[in-house]
Amino acid sequence: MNAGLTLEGVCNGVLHDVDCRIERGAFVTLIGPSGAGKSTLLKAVAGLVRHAGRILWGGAAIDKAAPHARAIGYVPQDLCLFPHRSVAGNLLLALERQRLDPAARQARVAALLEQLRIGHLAERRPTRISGGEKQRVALARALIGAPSLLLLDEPFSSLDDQTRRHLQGEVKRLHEEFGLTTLMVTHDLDEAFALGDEVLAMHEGRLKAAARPASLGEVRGDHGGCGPAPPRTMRPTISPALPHPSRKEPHMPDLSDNDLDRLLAQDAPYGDLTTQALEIGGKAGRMSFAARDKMVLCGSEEAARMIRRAGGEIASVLPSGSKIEAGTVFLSAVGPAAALHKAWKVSQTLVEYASGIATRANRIVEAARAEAPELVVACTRKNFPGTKEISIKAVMAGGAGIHRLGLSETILVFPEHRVFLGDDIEGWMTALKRHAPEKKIVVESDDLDEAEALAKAGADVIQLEKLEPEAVAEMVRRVADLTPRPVVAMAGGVNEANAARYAATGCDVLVTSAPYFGRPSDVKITIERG
Amino acid sequence: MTGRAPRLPIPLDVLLAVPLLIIAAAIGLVILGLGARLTPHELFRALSEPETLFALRLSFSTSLISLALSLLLGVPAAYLLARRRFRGMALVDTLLDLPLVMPPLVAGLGLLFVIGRASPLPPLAEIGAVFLFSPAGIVLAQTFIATTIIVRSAKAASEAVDPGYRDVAGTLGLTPARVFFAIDLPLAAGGIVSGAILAWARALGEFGATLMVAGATRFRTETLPMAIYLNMATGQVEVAVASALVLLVTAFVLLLTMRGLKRA
Repeated sequence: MNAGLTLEGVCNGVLHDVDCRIERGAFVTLIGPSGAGKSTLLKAVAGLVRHAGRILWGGAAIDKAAPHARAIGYVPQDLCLFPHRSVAGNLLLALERQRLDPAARQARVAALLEQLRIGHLAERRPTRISGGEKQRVALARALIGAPSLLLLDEPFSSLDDQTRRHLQGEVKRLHEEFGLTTLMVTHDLDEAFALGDEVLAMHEGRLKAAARPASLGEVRGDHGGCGPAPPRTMRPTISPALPHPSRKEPHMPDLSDNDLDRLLAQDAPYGDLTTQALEIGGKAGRMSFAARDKMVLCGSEEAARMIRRAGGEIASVLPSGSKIEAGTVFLSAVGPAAALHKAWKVSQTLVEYASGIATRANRIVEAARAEAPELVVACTRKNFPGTKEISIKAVMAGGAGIHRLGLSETILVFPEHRVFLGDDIEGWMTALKRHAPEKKIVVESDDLDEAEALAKAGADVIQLEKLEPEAVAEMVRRVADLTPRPVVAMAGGVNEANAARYAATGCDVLVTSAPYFGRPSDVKITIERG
Repeated sequence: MTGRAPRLPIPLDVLLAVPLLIIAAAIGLVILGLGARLTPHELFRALSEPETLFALRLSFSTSLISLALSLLLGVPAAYLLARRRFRGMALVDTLLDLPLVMPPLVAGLGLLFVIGRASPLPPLAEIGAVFLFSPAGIVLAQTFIATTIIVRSAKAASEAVDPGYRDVAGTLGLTPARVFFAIDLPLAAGGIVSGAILAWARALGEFGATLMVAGATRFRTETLPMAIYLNMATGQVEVAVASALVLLVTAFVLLLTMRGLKRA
């Protein structure tokens, strides 16, 4: 389970319905214009401002707890070192509530000050030390009580460049050493993307995933085959409200350059004639992609790469698997009109179809997981012929898995196979296992008695076909006592409407083709002169 | 650049110096008038008079008790006013300011009526029996006057403390009560002490309200101001002047202390 920090519908005068989930151990940076509510968000988590909505830390609601009961390390923007106490005295105050004898307290304070290389300042007043030293004292004071969550409000804003770089490294090191989950507000984009595993953006009290500006380097999707892989931090990977599917499925496949070139060539092998005839191809332009409805994004990397291959530049892009609200701009590009017009429709269509599949897959996953959190939703290979790569990516972006990629790698014994076999189930099962000892044996049946017999003969997975939920539940009961207990999968006719009922039967896997059939998501493209 | 450099006086400066000189001269003459009234020998004798010593003791003991009570009441009230907003706050604020501008004689009159025999709240009349025309009454009158001064200054001092300190202290695991004692009180201490000095000076010099509640009884409710009043009325100038000089010196010492504190 995710035992990190969860905000659900947090709002007050400044914050508007903030949802987010930060995994334990993550270093998350929060950017946004001043007055956007970044500091207020930190204060809400620390318990210093009133708000509606829920805040959970480590799985427990903390929003009703007083600040002193939350055990959260907090460094405010102006540090607020207590001027009437020495540096050590500032730290000792934070140890008051711990059951320690005075000598142990002193020792702990001295050790932490030493660790932050400010041991020599212990007896100084905070008013008589430098800015960088003050910052270290504030960090030490926030950490001395051994919190697991650290909130930093623009910790480096008042420092000179050299001190800032030093301290950035220091903070990152402390984050690792103390096993912290850190939420840091900054107004510096470079800093946000350099330090943060995830970058959140706040605007007018609302939280959004942050897009990486073009000036800070290429997005992951643009990265070709050569050169070192960009670090993980170069990819903004937060989506409000949901844990990012791509974090769980880091190997979501990308379409090859060949595939992208082929798609471009099918649509505009020699560019957009209209643009050329109007002689506007050289004019600078700006193109942005926005969701018209709530959707799970897929194919944004491919769209970005197609725009690049057509000659445009990417300003920002959200990764596949981002759950985005209506109106969210998930891709923006700049470049000559010829490039933008060439990639425009083909990239839009790809994202629309892929996101449609991802969104439908995600709905089934969510419906099923509401009943059974551990349940796996697997999609079939009944995608539209010729679109397997993007279909697989979309299914994964939606949080579902893949049932079978093809016939040559997995064993699934259908009744259509069994017509050629005799009644000696044990016999052919043993022979099959001898031929493919490392494969799981999956058998499909629409008859409970036959399925039970197959399970007893040693099938690893029983795939039930087109049975009612009651019958599936019955099957789960029948095989419950077998050792090893076979996996029970339900296939055929599973969709968004009945997923919850099937999930409630106790089966392990739902196999479905439903995400492939439906309307594409709607993407609004805006092209402006740039 | 020239802000601190001495510059030549201009005619306007000379003109403005005249009222300044008049004020300074007036104050100087008042002090001279008091100081020159008695020879050192007479002054020493007047200071050793049992009546003077009684007034001295009573004034200092009552005013210090009043100061303690005012701090006990005023500081927590000020802390609450400084950090909470509630409905009717402006009204409460104005109400608290009233004793500052109200003539002490009027305050005393009100106190006398509310705890006197014809009190509109009869239970108060019973309590009032303890206070009326007794040293306890002096404390009551002085506390009434001094508390509002404490509230005023302690509120300003609490408001001047950055609430950020309080917030951080909370996240460090300190309970609100502990935050008050470890953070707010020490940080507001300077302002509270200045207020306490002012309040004490007012309590020492309190006359009007004391006269109404405690009366002016020789060797019973005879504080220093009361001693001046009683002795001037009967023509015994020595004790009156000695008492006045004690008050004057005390005021001077308090002023110096406050200056010293502000610099620290």
